[in-house]
Amino acid sequence: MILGQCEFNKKYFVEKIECNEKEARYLLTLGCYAGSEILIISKVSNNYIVKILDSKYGINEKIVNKIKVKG
Amino acid sequence: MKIILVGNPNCGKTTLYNKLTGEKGSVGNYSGITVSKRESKLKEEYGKSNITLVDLPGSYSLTPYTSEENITKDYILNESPDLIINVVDGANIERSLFFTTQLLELNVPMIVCINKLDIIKKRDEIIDLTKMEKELGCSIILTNGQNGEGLHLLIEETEKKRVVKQFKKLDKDNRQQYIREVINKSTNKKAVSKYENTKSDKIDKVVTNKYLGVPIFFGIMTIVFWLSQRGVGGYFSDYLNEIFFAETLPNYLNNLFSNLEVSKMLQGLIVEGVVGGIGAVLGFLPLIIVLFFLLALLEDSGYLARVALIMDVYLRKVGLSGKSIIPMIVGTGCSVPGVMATRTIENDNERKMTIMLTPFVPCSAKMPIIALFSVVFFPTLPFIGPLMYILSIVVIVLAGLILKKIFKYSNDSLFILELPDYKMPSLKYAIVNSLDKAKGFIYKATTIILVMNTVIWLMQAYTPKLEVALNQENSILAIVGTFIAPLLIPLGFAGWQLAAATITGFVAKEEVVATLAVVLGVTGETLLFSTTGPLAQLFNPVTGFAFLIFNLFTPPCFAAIGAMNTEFKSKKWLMRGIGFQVAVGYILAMLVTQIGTILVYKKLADGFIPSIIILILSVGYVTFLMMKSEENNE
Repeated sequence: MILGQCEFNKKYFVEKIECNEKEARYLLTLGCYAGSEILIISKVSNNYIVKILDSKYGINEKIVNKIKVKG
Repeated sequence: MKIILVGNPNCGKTTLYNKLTGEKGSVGNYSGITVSKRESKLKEEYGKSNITLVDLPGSYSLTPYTSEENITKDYILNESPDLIINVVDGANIERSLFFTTQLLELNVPMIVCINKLDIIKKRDEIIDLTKMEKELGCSIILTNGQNGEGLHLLIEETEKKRVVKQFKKLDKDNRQQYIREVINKSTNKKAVSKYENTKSDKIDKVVTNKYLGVPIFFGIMTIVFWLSQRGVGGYFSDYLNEIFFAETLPNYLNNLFSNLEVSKMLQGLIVEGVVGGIGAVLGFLPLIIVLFFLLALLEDSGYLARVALIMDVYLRKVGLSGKSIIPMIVGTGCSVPGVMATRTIENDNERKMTIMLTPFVPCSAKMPIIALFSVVFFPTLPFIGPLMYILSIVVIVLAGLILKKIFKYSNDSLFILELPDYKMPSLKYAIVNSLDKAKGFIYKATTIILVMNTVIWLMQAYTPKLEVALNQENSILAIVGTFIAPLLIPLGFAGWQLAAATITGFVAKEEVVATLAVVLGVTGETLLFSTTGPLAQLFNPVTGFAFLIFNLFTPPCFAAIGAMNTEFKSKKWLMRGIGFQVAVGYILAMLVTQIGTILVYKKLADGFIPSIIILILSVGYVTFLMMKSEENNE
């Protein structure tokens, strides 16, 4: 399932990241990679507030929709 | 010994650096405050005079994404520091270790410093330092940059001899796995199944709310400007402008000089040239101190990152990024740090557009011009000041749309912005920061502006044959001004005095009011501020408004142009940027004068025909550029 369709405040596991290499590498440095935990806190217009490890990020919809997760 | 501080954005490096060196580097609660490296000697109290510390911009890894992160990598690889202090964000140790492991692979002596000890304690986290040190193969010190806890230990640790062991080679597949192991072995961090919203999340619910977010932002900015321009700042500025620099000081000096029988010439130079000019600038000091104080509080709270998030959707539409709002807010204080703050924007096109548009935000140096012209020409209209801010937003939006059409680019690429937890802004820091800015302002007023004013005064007092100009019209300044004056006719700026003020305005916008004070021969601001004074003879309200607009949108000062040069990293783009800003300022002022004169005075202004020609040519040129980029795209 796409991360953008997930229930808020519930933890999911990243299954696959379908971004280009540079974007995927950036997400990796934040601790977002296949197998890592991720959760969405809320949506702010075209961006999501996403929690990765102990930090929160505003991430745009386009990227969020390239992250596939499972419950 | 050269020690560098490296770590993730917003991990508290600069706070540590400031504590260790006694410097006053700006800190804030969002990523990307430190955009270039800074270095300084260690404070004396640590008793190690041979240590130089270098503070580098934050980075999540050695494979950077934004341009500010490049500095870190280049520095470590090229400057071979004696020791790295890797500052680990205590609030997110696991993420920080990604960078840590990459740094360890460089085989440079290193100490890990886990900062934000207060947060670790608050969360009841326990870190087994011995285990972690064994895993990573380097010393680890716990610190709290806010209160200085652990800093002496950290400095003692730097003295120890250390052997650099070859660190295991990790790649992108097993690095995260290794980090997980380190965390599991050496901390008591438990996985939680359900996420509880924190206090910051609750604040975020309100400030990023669909309907409330934008009004709250504009509300906060209105309060900031009201407090600085009308409230406390305005009150003290009025006193300085209307009493101290207008009466007290000139009267005192005139009396003093008369008693000392100083020559009238020197008396004129000092009272009119120096006090008149500098007073016109320094009078606004209280206003600027209050503005910078409030901006420092905002930066320190963590709110700016949220503003970038809520404004993103709107800024995308005009070809910018949500992150463009931070340079613009910083730019209300000064365009120089504003332009520098664009480095956090990932997309190169969005960054260039932000560099071009940030100087349109009225900076503190433009406030004296706004204040002066609104008092003289629109004494009954209290909204001219706020109107200028609204107008700058409108112009940024329109200019953004035009630029997006000229330089076709997609701007829906990666946008990731860390949202740090809110914190209570430090009053002490805000005071120190605003006084530091005030110091810079006074320094500028007493150096470059003083010199320029003296030159301007001499130029208007002497003829080219270096005789005292009995009539100002024969002075050097008048002759130089007359050369440029024809260019300004379509704008309705008649006379060499305004040409002179326009030229000095390119050096620094503080100069505009100061130059007017000198060339009109008024001491202090009462005369200058009077609705029937000399200024009212040079302008009518329409051309006065045009002059204000012109100065608002032309490049703010040499320093800002320098910053644009650094950030564009290309002379071609710098020329485009300056050309664009000058053109916007010129055309807007021209439109105000020409259309305003027809509407208000029911007649054509001077230079109506040239204005039409200039307008047709510029519209034609812009259309040409847009069509060309359209073709290139197909």
